[in-house]
Parts: sequence; structure tokens; C-alpha cells
Amino acid sequence: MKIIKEYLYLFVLLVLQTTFFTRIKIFGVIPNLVLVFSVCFFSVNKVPHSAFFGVVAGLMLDWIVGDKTGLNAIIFLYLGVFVSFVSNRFFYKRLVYIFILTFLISAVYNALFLTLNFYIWGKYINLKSFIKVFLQCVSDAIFSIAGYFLYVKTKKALNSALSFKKEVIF
Amino acid sequence: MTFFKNKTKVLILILTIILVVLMAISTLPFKNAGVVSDAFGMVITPIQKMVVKVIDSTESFFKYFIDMKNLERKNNELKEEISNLNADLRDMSDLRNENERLRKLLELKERNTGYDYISCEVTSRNFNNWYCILNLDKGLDDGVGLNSVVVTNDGVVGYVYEAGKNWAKVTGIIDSSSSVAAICKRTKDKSVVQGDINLMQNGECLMPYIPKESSIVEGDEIYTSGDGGVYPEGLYIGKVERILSSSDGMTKELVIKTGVPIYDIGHVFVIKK
Repeated sequence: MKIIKEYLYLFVLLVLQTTFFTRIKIFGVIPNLVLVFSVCFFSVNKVPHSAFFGVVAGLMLDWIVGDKTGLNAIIFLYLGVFVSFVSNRFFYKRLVYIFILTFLISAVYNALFLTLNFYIWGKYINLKSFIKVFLQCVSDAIFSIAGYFLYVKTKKALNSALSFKKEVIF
Repeated sequence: MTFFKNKTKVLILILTIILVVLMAISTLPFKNAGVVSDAFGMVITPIQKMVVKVIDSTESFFKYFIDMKNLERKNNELKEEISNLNADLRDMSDLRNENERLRKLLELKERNTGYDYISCEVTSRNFNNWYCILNLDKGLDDGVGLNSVVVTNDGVVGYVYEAGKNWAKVTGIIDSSSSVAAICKRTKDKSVVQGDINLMQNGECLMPYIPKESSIVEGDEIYTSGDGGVYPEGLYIGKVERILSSSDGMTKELVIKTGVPIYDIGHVFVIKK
């Protein structure tokens, strides 16, 4: 039941991202709430669970936003494995860490997305495209602070097991 | 062999293979949505529609309190009236030009302007830095087909690239993957109107490969030429906003401001095939 709740949160965030947040642009970009929540999930859960969650989150984005089914899913799969692997070994639970982590992962995601679209499907990009990536990363990182705080509190309230060994700071 | 003993690595490998196959399948042209994709669309579309209605209702509620609701309605009525008048004006101007051409060539052609339209609501707008995709609340069951053109009174919105039973996804004309065969009504210069990642946020697109000696100017109107096979001839795209020189200096590139405010539309019409 706890696991289903997390997928339900993901679904709700996807609906909000494609309805409510299209009306409100922050720094001229729409925050990628699915990515933000996924990073929060990856950082506190184990690798197999994160991998599967990443695939589901990516597929949801593909079905709603994308036109190439599987592109977001494969990016999220490997991001989930990477973040989960790193967090299990090195993660220290500070909000500034999650801010930096989300910023970097958002940058990697957007860069990978653009690059794959360019090399596989020939969609034209140039250097200006990457300027928008910076604004997207800042927007996602800001949302990750609140998102991570709420997510870890919810997990602790449900007495769910968190994969990292060190205690949560807050 | 030790690789296959690690369940996590095997899981990742299997997922990767499945996703690569899915990506390969999704690049096939002229497909309907898969079963799972269709089911997901059928579930999420009514929810998005409901959320959008709630948001619209909340917005209206607050606007009522500061007396904006009446002003907004009046403004929309006036905009719609202006839009209808502009559409009529373009039709008459087009008919006049065509009449002159026919007189010169001494040929008679019958111009079919009659289309069947399917009225649709926009349930969600999926915009990010790289996409301009709209979701509609009608699908295959309502007569919306793949590659159906989507328009409003203000001009072309895009075309349907995927459809399920009760939903459809539309690639906006400003999307970076969009390409429309177009013509300048005044000078008859032909080219393609393409989406551009850097212009998308402003509701603009690019029309390259215009001859350097062309007499096209800012404010000239751009229409579909019908050459591409997807968009019929004569649909309004937008106006020339700026004229740029190409990187090699051999041709001109036009920045087109679309007639349709894609980021604000809530209601569109699908041209039935």
C-alpha cells in the first residue's frame, strides 16, 4: 500500500505539472515536478526499487509529454540507478545536498534528452538551447527542497525504511 | 556468468532492452497509440479536464471579487469578434487574388473551402523547453484521425500525431519537430515554416530559404501552401515578425509570429479527414 501511494503521488504531480503549472511559469520555465519527485525518491530508496520507479516515471512522461515512448523512461532508469547507488554510499542528509543533486540531475537529464533527440532523431539544437537548461535546473532545484522535506517526513511518519545509514538531519 | 547472478543488474538489463524496443516501435510512422498508452490516456484525460475546470473555476471566482469577470467576458467577446472579422477579411482578400489569377490564365477552377470540423477542448498543455504539445478531449471515437489538422479562427494550431479512443495529442506548429509547407500570400514565395527551440517560447517559428531578392517585408501574411500533404492549402499561419539573413548570407530567414496564441488557447477545431 505504501508503495502504491508513492506512485499515486507521482501521478498527481504529473497532472499538476501539465495543468496547474502551465499557467504559472517560474523564471519562464515550467518545473519538471516528476523529475524533482523522482530524484527525492531515488536518493532515499534502494537501487532496484529506484530503477523500476524511474521507468514508471519516465513512461508516464513519455505518454503525456513526449512523442518517443521509452526515451524519458530509459533516461530516468539510469538516473535512478546512479542517484540511488551514490546516495546509498555517500549521501549526507542536508537540504543543500538535495538542492545541488537535483540541479545536477536536471542538467544531466536535459542535456541527455537534447543529445539523444539530436543524434537519434535529428532534432536541431544549438548552444542557445542549453541556456534554457540552466533556468530549468534552478527551477527544479528550488522545488526539490520542499519536495524532499515533505517526502522524507512522510516516509518517517509511515515508518517506512529509508535506505541510507546516516540519520536524517531535520 | 556472475553478472547474471546479480538480480539488480539483470533487472536493469531487461528494462533497458524493453525500453529500447519501445523506442524503436514508437518511431514507426502513422501509428495509433499502443494499448497501454491508450489506457493511460483514457485515465488521465478526464482527470486533467477536471483539474483544468477546477483551476478555471477558482480563477473565475477571484476575478469576480475584483470585478474582472465581466471585463474578461467583454474582452473575449471583442477578441472573438475581431478574430471573425479578420478571418472574413482574409477570405475576401484571398478570393479577390484568386479571381484575378483566373482571369489572367483564362481557366476555371472550383475552390473547395468546405470542411467538416470537430470541436474540441484542450485538456492539458504540455510545454517545456523542447515541446509544444496539446492534449484534446476527443479521439478516434469522435472522428479525430491521425494527421488531422487542428485550427482555430486565428489560424493553424498544429496536427494530430497520436490518438486514442477519447483523446488526441497535437504537435503545435511552433514545436521544434513541426514543419509546414507555406507560402507568402503577397509575394508567392514558397518555403517551409519550422518550429525552432529558441523561438518557441515567444510563440514564433522560422521560415528559412527565402531568396535574397525576395520583396517580402515585415507584416506579410503566411499561409499553408498545401504542398506537404498534411496541411491543406489556404490556412493562415501568421505574420512576418522579423527578417534575418541566413548564416551563409545567401538566403533570408523569416521569423513568423503565429496567428494563434498557442499558450492561451482552450478550444480548437479539428478538420475532419
